[in-house]
Amino acid sequence: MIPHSQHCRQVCTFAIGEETYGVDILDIKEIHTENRFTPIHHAPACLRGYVNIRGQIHLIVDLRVLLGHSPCHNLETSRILLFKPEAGEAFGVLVDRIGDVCPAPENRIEPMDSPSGRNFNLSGDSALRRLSTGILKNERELVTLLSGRSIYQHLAGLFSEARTE
Amino acid sequence: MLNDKAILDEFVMEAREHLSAVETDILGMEGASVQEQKNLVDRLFRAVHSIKGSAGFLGLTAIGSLTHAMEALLSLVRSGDMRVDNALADLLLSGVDHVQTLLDDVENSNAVDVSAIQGRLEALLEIRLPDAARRERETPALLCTQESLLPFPVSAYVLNRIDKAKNLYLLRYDLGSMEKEGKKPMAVIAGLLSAGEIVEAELSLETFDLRRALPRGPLSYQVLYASILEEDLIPMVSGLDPQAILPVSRDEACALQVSPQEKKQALVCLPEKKKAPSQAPCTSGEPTPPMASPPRTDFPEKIPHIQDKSGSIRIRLDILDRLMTLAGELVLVRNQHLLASELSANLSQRLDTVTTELQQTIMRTRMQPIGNVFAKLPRMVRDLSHKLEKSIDLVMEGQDVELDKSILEALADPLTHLIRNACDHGIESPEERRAVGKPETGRIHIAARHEAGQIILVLTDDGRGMDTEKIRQKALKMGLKRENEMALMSKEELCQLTLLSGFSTADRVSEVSGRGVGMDVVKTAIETLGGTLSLSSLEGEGSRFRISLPLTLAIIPCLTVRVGEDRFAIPQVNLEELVRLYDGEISTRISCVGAHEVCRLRESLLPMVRLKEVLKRPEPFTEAIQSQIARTPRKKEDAGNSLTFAVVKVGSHRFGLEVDAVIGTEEIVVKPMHPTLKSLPLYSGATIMGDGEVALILDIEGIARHTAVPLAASAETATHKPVTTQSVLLTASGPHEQFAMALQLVRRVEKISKKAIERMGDREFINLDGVPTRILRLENILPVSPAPDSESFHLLLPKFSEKPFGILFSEIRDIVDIPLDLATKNVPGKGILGAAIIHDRLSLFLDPFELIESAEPDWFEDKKKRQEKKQSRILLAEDTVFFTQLVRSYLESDGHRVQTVANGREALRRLREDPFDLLVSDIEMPEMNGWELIREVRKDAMLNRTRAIALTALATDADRARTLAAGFDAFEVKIDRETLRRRVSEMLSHNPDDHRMDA
Repeated sequence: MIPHSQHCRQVCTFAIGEETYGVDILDIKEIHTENRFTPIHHAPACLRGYVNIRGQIHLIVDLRVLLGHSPCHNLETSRILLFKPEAGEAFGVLVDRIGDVCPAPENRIEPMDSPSGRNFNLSGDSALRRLSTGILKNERELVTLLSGRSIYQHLAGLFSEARTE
Repeated sequence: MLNDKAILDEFVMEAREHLSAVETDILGMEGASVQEQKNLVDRLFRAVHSIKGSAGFLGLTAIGSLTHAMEALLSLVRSGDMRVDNALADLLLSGVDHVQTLLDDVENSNAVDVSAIQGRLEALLEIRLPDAARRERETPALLCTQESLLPFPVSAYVLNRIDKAKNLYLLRYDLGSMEKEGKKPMAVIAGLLSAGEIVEAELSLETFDLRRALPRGPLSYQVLYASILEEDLIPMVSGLDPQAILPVSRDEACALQVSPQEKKQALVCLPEKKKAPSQAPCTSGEPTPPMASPPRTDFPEKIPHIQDKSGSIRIRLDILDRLMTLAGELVLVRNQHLLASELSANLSQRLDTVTTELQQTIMRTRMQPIGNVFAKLPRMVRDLSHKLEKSIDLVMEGQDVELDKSILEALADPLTHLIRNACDHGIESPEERRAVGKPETGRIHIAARHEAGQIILVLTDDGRGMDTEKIRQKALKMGLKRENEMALMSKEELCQLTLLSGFSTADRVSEVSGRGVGMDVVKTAIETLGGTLSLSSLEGEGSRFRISLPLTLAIIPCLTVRVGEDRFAIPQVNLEELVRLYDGEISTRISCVGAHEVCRLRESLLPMVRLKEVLKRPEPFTEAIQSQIARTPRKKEDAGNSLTFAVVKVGSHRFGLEVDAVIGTEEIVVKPMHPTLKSLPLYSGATIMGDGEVALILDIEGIARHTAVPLAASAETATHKPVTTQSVLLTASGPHEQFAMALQLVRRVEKISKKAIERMGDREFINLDGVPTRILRLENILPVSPAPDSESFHLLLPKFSEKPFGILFSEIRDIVDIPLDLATKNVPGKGILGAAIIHDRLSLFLDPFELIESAEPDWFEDKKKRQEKKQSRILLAEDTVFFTQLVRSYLESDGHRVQTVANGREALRRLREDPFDLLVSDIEMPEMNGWELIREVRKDAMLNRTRAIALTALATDADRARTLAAGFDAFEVKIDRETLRRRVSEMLSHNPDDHRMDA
């Protein structure tokens, strides 16, 4: 394992559909296989619902829906990533499949608004543009980097947006 | 030491405790007897002294000098040199306020300029001081230890007031080492005060800021201490090594009575002792306060106020919260365990008991006496009454009533507002009061008490009450209500208008209240806590506010329900009852009123909300959505044969919430909604159920708002006919059954003796008023138990019988007035209309006509003829279940096919949908009464030939005329079976083209 140095983040990757995403591993508290959700009616579709983790109620975001894919429930490989409180309170995301932890050195990260970044064909682009912090060019694949904080802020913003509609 | 936040925090906490006691005592001093005053002053003095001492330790100079000045005043009072009066009290209270402000930002308190208040305190001191004392104060009495002068001067005044029996010691505290040893200044001072008094004390350096840099040289705090304790005991109370304790002798000090011009020094010598290096004398501009110590016997407690709470302990809030959470988790585990339990019932039960008790006890730790909130009120009332130049008394009751801490905190503001209102708008000025004959001093009374799981707070004042005329005007002006609406409102209701947003009848916006922000904010605040606010007022006499609050928030009992696949919890506080409708009841009781579904529940109309539909629709309901839902019929597969709903309430309004199933009742731990979801109106929180899954807690008020369900249920029932109860005669024949008959069917009840009964074959008769009356025994007609033999019986004679007969009973039990609800289940036997539970017994309702018919079929020969006719279709419009049954049974026994509807509007609809041969209609019905119905029918080209009979209980000529004029063909009294049946068959056999007949 490459030690985590100041300039080289470690990123935990996961898959949504055919696409690979990653989150800074320091933001992640734990990963679960829990699949019993309590749906919250009236909440936006991107919220999968509440889940009980060791007595604490967490709000789980359905990343598939958030990123514009159609929802797909009960995949055997789906996992919940819970974020640390610094990223946002009591929440996590639901992903299709967990990938490896890989290093994300600065020199291999392409920021979102660079010319070449814009060329990438991103689905659900407006949401992704807001949430994504860059693209990591790995040997085998491209990993779109997301940030827990921005996902949380997106959540918080959902309701004020709804108000102004 | 200033560095240590923990120590500072503790100081602030203790100082605030002292100050609140101080405030109470200052207020108590005014108007107390001399002896009481003495005690109060002593207490006051010690409290202020304690704060001053600690402030000195911590280098908080502003607080220190302010409290010092206050202490000076108090010491004068204590020694009798100053009187207690309003001015003094005002000034002291002002000082308290300033110290409170300084405590708010204690770290920067030294930078605050307190010269103004200090000046005032000192000015008062100057004015009031008797001359002799003044001289003494200005005279320094210089004391010294063995080697040198005391580092700070002490005035002769001070010295003279110290009990001669006390020894003086110079205590030298090294602040640096104290910190290292973890000794807390407050504890040190408390220890010192427990055994003596601090005459004077000072830090040995000039003003500095420890936070910037450590001063050079040891930091020392020197205390001149007076105590009756001997020297060897001083280390114990002071926590110092004997080396740091220097006795100070004053043998010759008292001889010093120098004038200000002469400053002789009195050097006092001491026994040999090791001493600390001498310090540079420090200047102190403050005149030192006298330290006369009153005899100990006056004091019930040695240390001010801290010892009031002996037996109690301070716990940090976060620890308590953690404890609460753990108790909650334990409840959850217990619930889970109960689900999966295979332990013996005994163990389970014990676990259950212990857990419940633990939970309850821990909840109690969060309980605090409401007196904590009350405590601020006397001061506020005092200040307000001075400001407004009124005389107001505040009486408080029930300060011991305990409330959950969070509720208490949220209660403070509303309560304050209410009191302010009472002072400002409620209580009149003394002149006004005199003019109307009231005592000059207005009275505000606030009382708290427990009642059935709630806290009730009642606030009354004897002021001018609410001017309903003004309220009316204001409401009109603001467009809140219309003139005609208000004409219908009672005085109570008009007063309640003041709780609406933006309402304020204050002519001017005073700074005290009347900002127009008022009562609705209070109401909302209280309702957020789960409580209610109501008010009443008598113009000229006063107003009364009543607040009710739940005891605790965190763990609540609730009802769990299921909708689709999901579970929800409805807090019990919102729940009134559960109802289940079966089969046909669903369609008879639930109908549409405009865009809303309503259910008739015991003669009141309940708006219905289908939770399933609510969950599907995130947008707030519009009229269109409501209609869409209401008109969607329930699918048979969904509903099955039954419909379950909960009657929920919000405030005083109710509605029915339809669910798929009721699961059970539980106590749940309320967890708040996720911050990002707080704005969802439907939910008030979430909880973890026994099986570990999360369930959402419904916010009934949110649902009501979202669905815009019409909550004026009470207004709708006003149009309903007043006869909603039936008078029913309860009787018994055999020992096993109870019978009931509508009183309207009874002509008379006679007591008969067995001897008078005559038999003819297997029939029994009795001669009543010369009329042979057939006696019916129920056991001969119905499968019921026989009446026991007896010397006498009761004979019930029904009305409207052509041939006289009576029904035999052994007992006449009671006449009751009940809302009638007949169950239509299968009850054996012809002659029984149905059954209902009355006075906890199943009572069988009798139809006398069917009874006699089955007993004497020959009396009713013509019936057979009627039955040969083609079966006609009759629509019966009748809203009372009882009469519906009754009339339906008459008509069906003649072989007609009867459909029933419950109101005029329904009747109209059915008439349009299906063909009927005859309409039999009640007059008084909800929605559309009989007159309106028949007018509509006659207007409708398709229907206007329908024959219609009006059935009614109204029997005046005017009603008859009106009924016929409206369009009915005939008019019959409801319970006259035979006449009705004849009329019906007449109507049906007539050619429909014939003209209407007269009744």
